[in-house]
Amino acid sequence: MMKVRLMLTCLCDAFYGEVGIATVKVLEHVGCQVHFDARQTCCGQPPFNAGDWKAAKQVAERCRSLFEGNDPVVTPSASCAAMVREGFKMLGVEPEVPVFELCQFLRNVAHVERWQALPNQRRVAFHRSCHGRMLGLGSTQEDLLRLVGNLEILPLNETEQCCGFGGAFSVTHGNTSKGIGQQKLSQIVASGATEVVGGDMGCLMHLQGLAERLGVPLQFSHVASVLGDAL
Amino acid sequence: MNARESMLSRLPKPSQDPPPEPFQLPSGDLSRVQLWSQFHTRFSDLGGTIVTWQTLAGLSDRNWIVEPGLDVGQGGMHVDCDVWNASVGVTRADLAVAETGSLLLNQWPFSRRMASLAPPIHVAVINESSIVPTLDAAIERLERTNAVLVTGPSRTADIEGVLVRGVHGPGELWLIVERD
Amino acid sequence: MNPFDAFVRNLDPATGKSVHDASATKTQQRIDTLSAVFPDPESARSAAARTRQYVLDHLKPLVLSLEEQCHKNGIVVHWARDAKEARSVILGLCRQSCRPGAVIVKAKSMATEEIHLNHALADAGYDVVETDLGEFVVQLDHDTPSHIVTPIIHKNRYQVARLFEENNIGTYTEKPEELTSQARRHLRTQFRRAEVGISGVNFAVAETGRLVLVENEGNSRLSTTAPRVHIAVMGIEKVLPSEADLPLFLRLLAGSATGQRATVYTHFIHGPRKPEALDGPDEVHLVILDNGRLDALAGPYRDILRCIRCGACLNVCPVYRQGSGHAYGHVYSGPLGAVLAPALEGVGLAAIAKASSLCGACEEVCPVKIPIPELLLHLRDQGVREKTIVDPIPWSGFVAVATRAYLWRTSLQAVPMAKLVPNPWSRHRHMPRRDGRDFRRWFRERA
Repeated sequence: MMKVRLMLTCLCDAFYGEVGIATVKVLEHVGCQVHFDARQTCCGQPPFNAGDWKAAKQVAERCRSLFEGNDPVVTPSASCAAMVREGFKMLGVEPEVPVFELCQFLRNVAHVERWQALPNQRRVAFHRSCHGRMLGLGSTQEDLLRLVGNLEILPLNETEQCCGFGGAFSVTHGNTSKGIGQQKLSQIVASGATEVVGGDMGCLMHLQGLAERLGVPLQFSHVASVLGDAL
Repeated sequence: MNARESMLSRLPKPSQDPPPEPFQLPSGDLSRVQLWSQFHTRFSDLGGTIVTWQTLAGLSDRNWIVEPGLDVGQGGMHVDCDVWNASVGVTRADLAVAETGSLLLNQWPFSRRMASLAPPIHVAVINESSIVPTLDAAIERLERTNAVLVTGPSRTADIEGVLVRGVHGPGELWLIVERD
Repeated sequence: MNPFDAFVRNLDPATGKSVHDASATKTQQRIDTLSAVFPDPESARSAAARTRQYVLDHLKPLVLSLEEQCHKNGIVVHWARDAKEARSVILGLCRQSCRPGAVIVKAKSMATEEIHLNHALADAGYDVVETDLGEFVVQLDHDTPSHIVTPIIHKNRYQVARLFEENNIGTYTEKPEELTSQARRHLRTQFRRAEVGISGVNFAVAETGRLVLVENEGNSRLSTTAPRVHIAVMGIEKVLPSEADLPLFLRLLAGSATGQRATVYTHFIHGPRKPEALDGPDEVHLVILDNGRLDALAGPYRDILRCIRCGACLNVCPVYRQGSGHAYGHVYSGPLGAVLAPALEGVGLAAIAKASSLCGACEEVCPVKIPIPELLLHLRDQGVREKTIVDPIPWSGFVAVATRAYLWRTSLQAVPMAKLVPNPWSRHRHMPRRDGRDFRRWFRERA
């Protein structure tokens, strides 16, 4: 049985406990033993992106020391994974933590090639999170979701476009962030989907908050939750 | 220190690495007929037209500017006029490029750069043998002269992205292919 | 609110739509063209990145070779350390060639925008005319370009029509074809009168001294062919080692900028007219410009000098699409501009690096693979250290909490309470809610 360490992410810690729970369920389903270090906090990305690298480094150092070791660290976020993999290097925080975004772990390490079907048919639009670019994620998350029965992924235009979240950007550049989010929502609505699936709660939190404010009726689900719902 | 010396002094000493190999697209092994077919598709898509000398006869009442040495013969149309007032400019083209549907015009001593540029109609005359597969092959054959690669009629999409032909250069690009 | 976001808030919806639609179309055309042109676009981009990097690493011998070859070909080379020196060199050349009052035609050039050349020439009494259709509109309207390739991406046909009517260019029409021919007629008279033509340079070949200019309209050819004197202005980094490098860069530039296999005109300038030639300029001058480039070359943002000004990063950028180039407040806009402007002019401009969600779409489309997000991050770091960026968020407080497990836990419990007070998040969006169980408790209790 492979031992993996869960990096929960601050958003799942604060708001989206069910995504964390689904992540554990999914990892256990593929035969992992999941460890959770309750001392964990944040990877340091918010101050890193803001340019306060002195602050970022202190948080990142603590995160790195907590996740020292060879057992894979798995996180339900491309954004946090990218921070730990690439951001730490830029900050000079070493040695490397063996971190994986959840779907990348499931495909490339656990070699998942089949998955159960959902109890009910769902037609969704998939939103790629931009930090997947830093991980070379490509279509890994969609490929994994295509293994799930009763799940239809509808074609979405302008998939390369960001949702507009961008962490602190969403508050320092609120109007810009909102405008980008509205574009994304209109593409999603145009796809005919009533549910949006994504791999980062940051994107989904922003899009959901915007959809609710604008009165756009959409459901938002994390990849881990969809995978978990099929089990 | 003058500007030149001061700028040069700030440029770092380079390493001895050789430059990277230039990137080339495979030229394929298309026959001349296939190359002309590819050229024709691209050239037409861009809005160029392949015509014959007969087509030009219909324009005999217009003002022409003709590159010296080119015999446009037919019906005494050999008119020369102020390039700015010409309706039709006739020049040679040195090469056709199948990859892009382009024509390469070198500036020879007898060339008239403005004839391919100022009139609303540019007619280029090319030999059938003067076709190359790729841009790489065309640029390999650049001479030590000024030259222009013409890829379709003049165009713009500056206003709302709407494609409009014939902005400052010719809106019509015609090509006459002469058998060797 | 920062100036960028304020600009976005105040942008009228019609302009926003023009910018978005044109950018989205160009982004798609780029993908379609590059995948049709190259069997493997990725390897083409890698090759281009290597060559541009080589140029930056070997600029000295390459520029010296360019100078020597130009000299052999009869092109006179001038050097300018900064904008002021460049303006004075160019003004000097104009004064040698023609009297004040004469017409000087200009082909679209970012380098001349950068050195604010038009004002200097106009102040000296010259009649400076921008001849690219978009630049002509910008000049008539006393506006500035909002995109490095498509300068009037922010304007629609109605605005252009009204402008032409007010300036007696032609009668009001909503047909782009007719507006274009009105501009053609008006500018023809200027080309016929012009005594000097000024252009930029897309690539200069060190091996042969050839200057390469690309365009679609023909105004650049006219500006560099019809007048007696042609002055080309180039950033010192625009060199390519050899002619054999040109095809790759011409394909990448046309494909990335406008989704074309080749631009309509690719002009290979070798020198002034030979004595026996029928036309072409008697004099060709090349002004090699530093203006901050050598500082950038020696600094942490040198990769940005690989840029070939295709504008693909502007088109794909979600942030650019919200604001247009004007939101950046600099000649260079978009992701490229957010790095290049501070790289050329100093970290005082670093705050513009914050106008990015760091999505990375720019790096993905860049034909020379410039790691733009990474450079933006470094700029933010430097800006914060040197206090040219003031962040509204107190990160030291965040560190105090995020490095102590107990404080972190307590604070997270309190986060949902934030909805009770007005905050910048809730100005635009509903606050997030807990989606169900608390993870930590669940994990503890199952053990």
